[in-house]
Amino acid sequence: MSLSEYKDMFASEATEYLQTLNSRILELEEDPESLSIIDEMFRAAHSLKGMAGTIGFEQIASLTHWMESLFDQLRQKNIYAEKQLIDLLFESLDVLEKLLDQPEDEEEDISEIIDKLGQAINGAEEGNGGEVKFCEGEKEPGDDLDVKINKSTEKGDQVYLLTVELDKECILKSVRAYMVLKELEELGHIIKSIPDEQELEEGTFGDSFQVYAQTKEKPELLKSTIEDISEIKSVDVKIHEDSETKKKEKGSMLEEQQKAILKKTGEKIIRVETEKLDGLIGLVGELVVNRTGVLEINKSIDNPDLNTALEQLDLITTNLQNAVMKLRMVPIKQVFDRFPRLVRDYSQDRNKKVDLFIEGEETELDRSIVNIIGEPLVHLLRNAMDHGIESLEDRKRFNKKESATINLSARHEGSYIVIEVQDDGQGIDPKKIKAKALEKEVKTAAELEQMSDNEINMLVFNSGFSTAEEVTDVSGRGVGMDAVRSTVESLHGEINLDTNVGEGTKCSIKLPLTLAIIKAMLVRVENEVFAIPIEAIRENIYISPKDINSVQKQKVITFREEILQLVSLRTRLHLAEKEKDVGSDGFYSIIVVESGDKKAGLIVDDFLGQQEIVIKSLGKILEGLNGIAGATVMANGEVALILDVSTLV
Amino acid sequence: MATILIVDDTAFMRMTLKNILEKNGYEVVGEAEDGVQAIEKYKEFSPALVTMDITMPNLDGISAIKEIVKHDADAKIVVCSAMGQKSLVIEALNAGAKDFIVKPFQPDRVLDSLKKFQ
Repeated sequence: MSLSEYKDMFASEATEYLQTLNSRILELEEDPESLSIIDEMFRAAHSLKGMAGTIGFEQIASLTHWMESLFDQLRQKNIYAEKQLIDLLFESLDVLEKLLDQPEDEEEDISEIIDKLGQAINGAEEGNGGEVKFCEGEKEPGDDLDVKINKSTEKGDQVYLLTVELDKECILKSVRAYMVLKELEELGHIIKSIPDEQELEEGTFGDSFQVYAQTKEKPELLKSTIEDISEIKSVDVKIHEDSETKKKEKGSMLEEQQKAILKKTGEKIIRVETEKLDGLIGLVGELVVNRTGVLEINKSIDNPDLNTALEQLDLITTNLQNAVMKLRMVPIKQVFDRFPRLVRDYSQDRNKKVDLFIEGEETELDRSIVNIIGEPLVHLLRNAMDHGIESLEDRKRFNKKESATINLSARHEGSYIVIEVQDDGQGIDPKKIKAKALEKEVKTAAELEQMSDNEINMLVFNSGFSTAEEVTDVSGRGVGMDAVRSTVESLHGEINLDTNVGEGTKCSIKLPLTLAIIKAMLVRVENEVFAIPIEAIRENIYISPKDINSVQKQKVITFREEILQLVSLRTRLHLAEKEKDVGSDGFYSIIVVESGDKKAGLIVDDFLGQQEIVIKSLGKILEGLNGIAGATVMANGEVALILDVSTLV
Repeated sequence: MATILIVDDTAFMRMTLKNILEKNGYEVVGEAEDGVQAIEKYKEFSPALVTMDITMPNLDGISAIKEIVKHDADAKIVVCSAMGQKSLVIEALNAGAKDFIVKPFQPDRVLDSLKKFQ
């Protein structure tokens, strides 16, 4: 197990705890006296502290320690979870999140937040004398410590002076001392300790202490018993002469405490590193591709026995593929969980009242998509709060409920997941969008005439487009919605708007469930094979050279009453200087592709057919190559590059 | 070879401990993530040693120690506590734990503590 593996595991588990804290604090705000919520927060902070301490992330350990103390005060009802405190807790979480992002970065200054937490805790302790009791019912009046050793003891009893030295690194010295005293109590009686019990309890002594004990047992046994306790460096036992002893009776220190046993079966989950999982998924992907290869070969052989065997193989690999793909799936809850907090903070900030309702958070989708879709959703939610939902005064004026509603939902539709963000705000007014489009010169008046209201509304996803009169710190710059659309499209998804003026807006995002294996069209250019994702392809056509026109040195064709720009893969990908002549049949083979609202025709040499392919990244060195999205290994072992249609058109 | 049951609510701490222990020849026969599981697994495996976290969901370590000791008076349980849990550690010792180790773990400390019980 390497250090980095530890760190990965730490990070993933710590993130879960952070999420727990986040949700519980929100719940606490609703229900400030719930002990079960406070208990759970306490445990989460405590577990984080232990983990961080073990791996050596001191800052995290220190911050969680203070949070834990604060939860403890809450639990003891020394403080009350009022709004100020909730805000402080959220603030602490923000710092904690930063620290978790960069756990080894010692630069982050946490003294400010710790001061604040300390103040909150101190406030509680002043009011209640929050002293930690060492062991209740056991304390004795101070003068008892001066009691002389009583000589009238049973025969055979002897008084010893033990000098016990603890390890320098011993952490809970007081508890070690307690263990020593406890062992001695079992062997005989303790008469006196130096320093006194109070100081031993508080741990405010150096590395050693002395105990006068009266016992029948042999000094060797005393010595070995005490030495057996951990973190004891040495024990010296001497007979104490000429002394009085007095028996002291101590009340039972055992305090029975009944706690309800909650029966709960633990979740049956194995943690697997994502890398191992991806390895497995990759292999299954290869298997699927090779299966296609074998099926292909069989077509020419056509042996009935082989056919039956292959059909079976086909079925099993398909099932295997589905099962493995499920491993990649995680519930979208991971993303949605952040949003209640976001909506709370943001609406408070904007002086609006918003209720967020979440539906379908258990809907599963590919892990890699989950990681990417968070940001776009944040934009949509903020957008809804900034532009969609009216100010309190406006809502009153329009006779709407004071607190607005945002519905966030996720559901499966075939092999797609649909995520919707719906608000009951003012909606998008096509007239305003039109005016803005003219002002920003996104479209001409003539073009706008041709467009439907829905098409006009979709313009909000264009770059540099914002109808907000006032630019706020996060939305209104017109960058957000454009980024949302490009993220969704990079995931081969679609985004749509459904809006009614005065009633609200619904924005739906439709994404494929998985990205690891896709259907692609294989084409040949020169001697290279390329794969084009099927989603990007509209049609395959053959065009005669006489249909090709030139507009501003660009080759174009008129296709379905549209001007379609032609892109020669041969020259675009620098495979040759010049475009080849037409194929032997006298036609150009063209694939019509679409990305966003752009279309183009890619000129290729040959169509090779459809295949399922496993997407592999090209690694760091070749990252960001223009026109290439990745690579795949084909059934015959050759590598084909996957074309990135969005950068080609 | 001494058999051990590890009880801790965080997978990270369980893994850390398991690593230390297995490297030093202990056989980790089970892991439990709360007190309820700890009791079940103790009964199932009868391990020679138990490392027990205190703060856990469902059933805390102290209650689990009491239950386990009720079932097996000779149970050898070592409490794993964090700094600042003084009173809880004492409560655990009173409940029947034999020793305690303090997080963050120093491998030597853990081994020192466990060695005595063999």
